[in-house]
Amino acid sequence: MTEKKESKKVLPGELVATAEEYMPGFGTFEDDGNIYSTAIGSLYLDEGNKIARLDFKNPPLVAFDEDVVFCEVTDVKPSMVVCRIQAMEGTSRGITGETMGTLHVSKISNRYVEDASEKFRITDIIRAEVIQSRPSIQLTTAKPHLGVIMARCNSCREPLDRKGNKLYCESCERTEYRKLAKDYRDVKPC
Amino acid sequence: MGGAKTDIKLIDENGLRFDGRKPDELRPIRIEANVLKRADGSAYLEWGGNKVIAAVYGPRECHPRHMQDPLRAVVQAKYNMASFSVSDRKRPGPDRRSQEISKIISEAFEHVIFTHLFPRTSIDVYMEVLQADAGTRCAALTAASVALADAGIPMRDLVSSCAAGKVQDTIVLDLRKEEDNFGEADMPLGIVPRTGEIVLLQMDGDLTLEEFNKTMSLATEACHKIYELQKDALRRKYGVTDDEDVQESVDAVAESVPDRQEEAEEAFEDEQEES
Repeated sequence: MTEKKESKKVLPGELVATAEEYMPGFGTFEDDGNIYSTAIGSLYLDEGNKIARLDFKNPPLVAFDEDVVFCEVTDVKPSMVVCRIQAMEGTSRGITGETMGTLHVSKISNRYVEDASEKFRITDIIRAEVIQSRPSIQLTTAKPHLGVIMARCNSCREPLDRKGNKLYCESCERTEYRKLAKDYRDVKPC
Repeated sequence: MGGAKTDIKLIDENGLRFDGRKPDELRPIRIEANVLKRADGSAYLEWGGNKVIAAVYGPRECHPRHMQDPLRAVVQAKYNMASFSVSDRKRPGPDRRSQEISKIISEAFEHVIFTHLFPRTSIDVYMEVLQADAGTRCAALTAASVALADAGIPMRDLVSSCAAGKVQDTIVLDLRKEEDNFGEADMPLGIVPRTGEIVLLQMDGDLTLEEFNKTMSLATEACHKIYELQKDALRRKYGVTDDEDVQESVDAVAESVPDRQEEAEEAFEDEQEES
């Protein structure tokens, strides 16, 4: 595929090509025989497929497969965990569109998990990977760096400390179990 | 407005206005894009005595949820005047005027934003008037338009806005406070400059058809000038230039999101096929 890059960047509503020469691609639209840009970005004219497209400068953030996201657990059922996606790793912009994600019990860990509530509790903050973005967001935590990054005691709501593969509450001396990320309570800002 | 009586000579014998401007002259305008770190897009605008800051968040999950549209994004504009923006302290909080302005600005943007690309979301536009000197709705709309472009929201074009009116039987452009208060008519206009579509038009006072047409053409011409200033602000921020040397250095910085772009393009193509 031959791709020619235009020498200039474009602003919204700028004429980038004519409909006789190119088809409108991502970030462009056709109006009255002309093709215009929809946002600020770099213009690419695909000579092979005859498509004019735009590379956005500051694109709205939509979750796609293999994206790593941070979520808060909002509901736990035996077969699945429902969570609200709060942020995406490596970006500061908020998520666009669907923010509810589900984590099936079979995708929690590489080991057999009988009940999802053994590994997650409501209000846990987790790091998960998107495995399906459409029609609904499906997540997995079956990797070492994925899982709970912050959890609170079920009884007193104090933050739990890690002790090996378990979590321990200093104030009420209880032990709890989760699918922990490698960097539990030690997440470095990107 | 409403032609309140005053001893101030708003138009002098030379045809110049209270502040020395010609009837078809704009006040000085300065626009700056991307001024707020935490917002997805933002802009600051100084227009004569007006100072407006605009911030855009989203597209993000729409709240309250019952306002969600399963087919498109909802544009929720919020215009607010700071309590210190006028000489007499303004009572803080929403009032009938700010609700009206918020509504008409939302409707103006719904015409230019590709809302169907972001179903069930809301695009929140906040406009805060820090200092007011008449024409704040035009200033807010102009600033918000730059902020939307800064946020990367796909849109058909920027929206430009300017007011014109009648003061002591003379058609004047870009009224300031005294002219607004003691003049005979005021007509804010918002257009999509590329196509010339009108997305906002209001009128306070009375104009004959001839005066209306003259006011309209004066305001339209001014909108095109403001459009250039808006584009200039974005060019300065994003290094949009024809100079290839500058372009290469800008390109080097812009390499951070190639993977996202590919995925977004694939999704776009899928949607195209489905439709």
